[in-house]
Amino acid sequence: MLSEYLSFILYGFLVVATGVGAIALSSLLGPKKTYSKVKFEPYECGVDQTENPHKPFALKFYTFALLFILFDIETIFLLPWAYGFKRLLHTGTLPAVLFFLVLLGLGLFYIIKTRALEWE
Amino acid sequence: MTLAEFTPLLPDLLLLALALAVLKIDLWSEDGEAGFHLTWIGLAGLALLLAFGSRSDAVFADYHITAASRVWKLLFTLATLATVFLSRPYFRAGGNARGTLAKSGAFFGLLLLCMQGMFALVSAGNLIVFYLGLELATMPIYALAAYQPRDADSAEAGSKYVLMGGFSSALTLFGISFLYGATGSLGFPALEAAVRAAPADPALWGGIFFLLGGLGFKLAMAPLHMWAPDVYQGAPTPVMAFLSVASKAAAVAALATLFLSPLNAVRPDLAPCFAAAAVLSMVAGNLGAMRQKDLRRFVAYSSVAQVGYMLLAMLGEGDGSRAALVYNLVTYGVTGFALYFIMGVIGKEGPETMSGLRGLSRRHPGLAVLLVLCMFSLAGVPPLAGFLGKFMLFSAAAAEGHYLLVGIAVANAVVSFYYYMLVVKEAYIAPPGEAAAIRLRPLQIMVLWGLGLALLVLGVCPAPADWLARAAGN
Repeated sequence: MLSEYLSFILYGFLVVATGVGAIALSSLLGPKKTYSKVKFEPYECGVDQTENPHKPFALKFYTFALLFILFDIETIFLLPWAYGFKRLLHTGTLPAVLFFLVLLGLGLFYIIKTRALEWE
Repeated sequence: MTLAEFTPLLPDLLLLALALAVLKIDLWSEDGEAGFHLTWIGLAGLALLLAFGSRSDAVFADYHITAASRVWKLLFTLATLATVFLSRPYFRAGGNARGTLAKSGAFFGLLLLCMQGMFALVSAGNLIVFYLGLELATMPIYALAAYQPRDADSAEAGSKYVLMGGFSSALTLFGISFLYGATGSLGFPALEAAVRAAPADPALWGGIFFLLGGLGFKLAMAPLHMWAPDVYQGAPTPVMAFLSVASKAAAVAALATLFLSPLNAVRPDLAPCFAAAAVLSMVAGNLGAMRQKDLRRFVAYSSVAQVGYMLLAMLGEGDGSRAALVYNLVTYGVTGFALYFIMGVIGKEGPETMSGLRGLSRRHPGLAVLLVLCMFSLAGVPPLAGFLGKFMLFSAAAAEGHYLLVGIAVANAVVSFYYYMLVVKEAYIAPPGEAAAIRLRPLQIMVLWGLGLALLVLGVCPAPADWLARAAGN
């Protein structure tokens, strides 16, 4: 039992040791950092900051991002079928794929009609 | 395959067509009226088709049409139909004090798509179909929970439900992967055989553990119920109604689909687990509901307690349990919707809170009587529907000898009587404010009478229960 898993346990130990070791060594051997208030202030050409950079901004792009992901994934479903098109055509998958495409087309139609793709 | 072979699949296909048609018709309809009428007519037709249509069973690869699945589908259809009617005033200007909902077509479309997921869930013959159904039954509700425009509570409800739903879906999927690893198959028949052959496999139990966790979230079963009060309170009332009846029924159906057929062999070993969850849910729900002032929050806690009662049936024997679950969900749905319609009526002028019920007995005596019937039914007082629902659940558990558990459940039902009576007290005894008399529309009067009569009939006459028991028992 143990001998079977020995290599795995050793591997796990090595992974952890490498990760922890690298950080520990660099903090031991590397140059020591000095902290001061000035170092944490944003540097803008030597001028003091005038406004807060954490401003709310419009997220108009999110519908595009959502729709892109949706259609991207649907393309992935189509790709294998397109790849094996010649062989798959005779196995009766055509109605299923057409059905899928119709659903996809209806979705696209809905998106266009609700003006989700129009940039305002 | 000929076209005639697709007849048993007709309800599912019609539902898909209906969902797409409702979404599309909304693009041309100015006021959303066309979408509403198409939805309720379509759903009514679907209900008739499921009740009186083709009775033959069929297997389409991993999509199984059985008598039991038809009963579940009928239940989902009726619950959605009631939701559609309930949501009607919420889309009218001035129909609700909280604000008017917009885009009714998308609302109904999402409800129908959600229902499609529930249909797939109960027809699943494979864990992947099961999971896809579960996802499709949850995802539209993420959007629906956040449907109240410019409302921080509703946005909070939506985001909380997304996070909790995503988390529970991941748990479910993780559990499914364990089951696949343990048994080497995703199909239910092969799964059943593998579970019967090796019921003590640790990987199998890992899978069951995660699956139960994931489904427990969807079911709002204690201790995984903490999302429910916030989501129920923030969501618009029709969505809350859908969550507490249809979505709850879907989660119960999911539990029954898995644990009463493919995983039936391990269910006796799971009995302590179900018993603990049942007791916790009852206690957490009942204690939580006592202090609530907001009616939607109150419903959330009361439904957590109901889940506790329903989990009792998971301890019973297969067919009887399924029949008890379905019947209890029917009675709970009827009682719940009667309450939600009352909430919709009082929500027209004031907030849907306990104090909003104040003086109801003077503002509309009939409505107050219906409220009393609802509360008595929820508490399980004999001549009403809720009693028979609870009775069937308790007897399913008692038949297997879980007397202590049934005793705890009965004690909890007595405790719950206290807070249900608090609602009645608000309507009858609390000093009424300035509010004027309530005027109902003819359609509202019809719906309320129908639900009130159903409350009485389902409690007195066991014929529908018998029919359901035969159909669901298969």
